[in-house]
Amino acid sequence: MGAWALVVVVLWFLPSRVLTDYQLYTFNLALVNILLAIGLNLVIGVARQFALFSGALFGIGAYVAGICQVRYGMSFLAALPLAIVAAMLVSAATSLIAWRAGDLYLAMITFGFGEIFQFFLVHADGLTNGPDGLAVPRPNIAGVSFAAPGELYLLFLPLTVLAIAIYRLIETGKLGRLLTALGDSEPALASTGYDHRVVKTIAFAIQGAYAGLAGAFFAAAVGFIDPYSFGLSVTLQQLTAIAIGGLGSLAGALVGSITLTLIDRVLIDFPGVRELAYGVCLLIVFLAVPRGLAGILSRQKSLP
Amino acid sequence: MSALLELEDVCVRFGGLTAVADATMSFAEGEVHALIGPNGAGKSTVINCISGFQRRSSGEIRLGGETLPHLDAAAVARRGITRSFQTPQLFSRLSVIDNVRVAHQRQRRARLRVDDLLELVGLTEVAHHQAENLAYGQQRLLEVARALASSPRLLLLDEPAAGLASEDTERLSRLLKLIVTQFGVAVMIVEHNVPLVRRVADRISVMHHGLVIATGAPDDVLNDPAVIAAYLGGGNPSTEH
Repeated sequence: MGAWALVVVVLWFLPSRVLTDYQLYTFNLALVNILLAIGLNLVIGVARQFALFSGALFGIGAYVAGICQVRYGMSFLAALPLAIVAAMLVSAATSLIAWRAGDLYLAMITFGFGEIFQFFLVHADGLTNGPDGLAVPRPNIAGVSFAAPGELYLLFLPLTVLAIAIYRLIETGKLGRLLTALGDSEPALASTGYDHRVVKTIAFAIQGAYAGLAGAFFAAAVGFIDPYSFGLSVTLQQLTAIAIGGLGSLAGALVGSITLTLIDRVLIDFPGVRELAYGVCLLIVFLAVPRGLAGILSRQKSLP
Repeated sequence: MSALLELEDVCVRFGGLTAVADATMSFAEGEVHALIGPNGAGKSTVINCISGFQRRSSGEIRLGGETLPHLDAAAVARRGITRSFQTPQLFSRLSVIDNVRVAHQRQRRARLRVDDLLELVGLTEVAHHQAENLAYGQQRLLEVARALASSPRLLLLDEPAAGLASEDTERLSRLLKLIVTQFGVAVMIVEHNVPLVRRVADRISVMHHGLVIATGAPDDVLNDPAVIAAYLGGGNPSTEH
């Protein structure tokens, strides 16, 4: 407990004093990616539902938050829950597909959903401002402006820690047990009287909530959103992150998404190389450490 | 003993193949009803049909005298009919105790505590091991414990003794006796281990090519010439151990 308190204090006070704005901006993106990764981890890593539309859910969060603020003059804090709920509802509705479709079909259909969503963002000019994108104002809470990356970091960090804590509660509780059970054996889950459809919808809804929160953060952190930030590459990046970290593990999702954020920042100027790097990372992990980075850590811990 | 579940003229057809033909049988509370027969006789299909994993093509299933409509597996389980699987279907990433908890956490008035269930099947010592690391026999016993955790009225066991060591088979037979006498559960067991069946069953039905060819008390059925010809083979089954 003491160690955790120390970590929180260090994370709270240190970065905003010693790091440059760009580094803090990268930290903020890492927090966004952590939220995306843990949501995806719950659906793919734990519940084993191969839904590939994180990018779209992320975009729903970002655009709902952005549009509420730009077009309806809402504050960041008022728009935030709407962004979460919108992504949650869309994700839950999409889970109806998972009720019937097998793994491959679910992957293809959700992938298609992501593509259609991007098409919608580009063509619904009146709402989304189309391919020109939308400038999103910086959060202003009770007269305090969160404009600089260091200020935003202090706003995002506690909310992200809270989101991780909630994830941990879900993971270790009755619901987490059901989600793992769903991923392991649907027939066995049915034989205990649980309707797999309900469990799937809950898993998708939770992923939606995390992606929605991440989207709202992203819009605030970058200050500008356009349709091209929410495509397949986001989904692939998060998939790579949780695979590198170790599918199904919270620690893995955290380590993986931070690693990927750093790789992403280094390679930001080389668009093609970036995707290639994800692929190489995935290959190395699958060949060398199939259980991911978290797997290595837990193996060392269990040694005498 | 009143019949808890009745099958009347139940047929299951897969295209041109009739897996189960006009099966009529009943399961009473406090009774172990064994279903035996050669591979491919339709025994598992009967279990799948009762437990909602397979739709019947025709016929009627009654639970407590009322017609059971076509329900999905989860809905059937919620009505008090649970099962084990021929190939163990465990929640492999969960611990042994969590496997039982998944079924147990739905129960408002569970018959037994989780610890007691593990004690019953002899898995207390491995309670916190991951289920996928269990020996095959233990996996089967865990399936039985999980099925019992739902406090069922009818328990369907698909070859629970396959792959079990003799002491585990012994434990299973004591367990079956206990759950029918103590809790009045109706048990249907599909099993190839004839000595076990002889020991635990109050009634035996024999299936062959989708047909129920004999039903009755164990001694009568196991000595029935038709049953011996179809399933038990030339040797006298009563000398098997």
